[in-house]
Amino acid sequence: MSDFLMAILTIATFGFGAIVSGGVLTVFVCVGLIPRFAQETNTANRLITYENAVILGTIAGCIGTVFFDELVKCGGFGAGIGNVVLVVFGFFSGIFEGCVALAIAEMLDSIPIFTKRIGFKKGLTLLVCAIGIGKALGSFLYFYFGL
Amino acid sequence: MQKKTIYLDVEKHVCVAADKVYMKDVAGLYCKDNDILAKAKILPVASFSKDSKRLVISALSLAEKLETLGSEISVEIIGETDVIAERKPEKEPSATWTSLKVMFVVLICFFGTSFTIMAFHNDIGIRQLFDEIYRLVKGEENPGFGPLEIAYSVGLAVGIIVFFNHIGKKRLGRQLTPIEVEMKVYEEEIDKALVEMEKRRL
Repeated sequence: MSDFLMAILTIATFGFGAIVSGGVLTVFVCVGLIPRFAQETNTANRLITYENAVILGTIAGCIGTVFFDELVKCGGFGAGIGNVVLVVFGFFSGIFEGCVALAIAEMLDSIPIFTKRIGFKKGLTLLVCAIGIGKALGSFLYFYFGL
Repeated sequence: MQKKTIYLDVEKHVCVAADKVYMKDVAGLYCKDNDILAKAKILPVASFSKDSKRLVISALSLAEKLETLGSEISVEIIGETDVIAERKPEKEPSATWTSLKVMFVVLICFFGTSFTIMAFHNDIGIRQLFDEIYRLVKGEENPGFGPLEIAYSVGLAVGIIVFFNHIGKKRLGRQLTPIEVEMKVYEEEIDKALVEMEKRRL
């Protein structure tokens, strides 16, 4: 009986995965990050490449968390390559998360609304810098003091 | 005297390689009279100054210029109401620089999305969740590596591929992918904002 249930459940879990990926990807697409990257770098003709990176990244992240125990048993990269991998991972995922955070904030039009309310016209660059520095500082404090 | 109609199909966004912008760069033209059509095509409409890389030209000013060709001409505007003309950079960016940029974005997309899905899995405590589901169904401890985990991962991969509709370079259907659609929407919004800003400044 439990084996039968398990078989059904296995099929259902397949569906869990499909729905979860749909949900997570919708968020990426909605905040419009990748078009922004493509626009910034003038490489809109390479969108397919970026989408492939998104696909592979999501699959890699999924394997990393779901099969965490098994992967740990295989052993890591060691201190040498390991540190490089950590820095690369941290740097690029940091850029991405920073963009996601601001893109979500921007979806609510918080900055334009504020700008209108207090009637400020100059210093948008300064504001953006302040947000960036604030985020970096906040992140640093969070990790340093283990908040 | 018979009126001669010029149909003016104004573009949305154009790239111009030279400093001077001509009528044919910013709009599609049609006129029964080939003479007038030829003259209209080479009408200068604007020019880039040294530091301006972008011009917003209204369809009205184009019509005004066309009507200077003769009093018998009438203009019919069928395209956009404003066109953005952008000066193409002198030299194309080098291929190495472009691939470097592509590489950079690819890395961001790869590590960023993998981090996000990991964060999400951590958030919901996926391994604990799987353990509980396993116990619920089989009444014994989850060995950790089983059908549940594999089916979930495969399902996730299939979901992504169906969502984006392609594997590698091979498209699975004829539709555009969601990111390509989003890209178009984004470009259109930028164009709209540029025109609005330019109008506000005038």
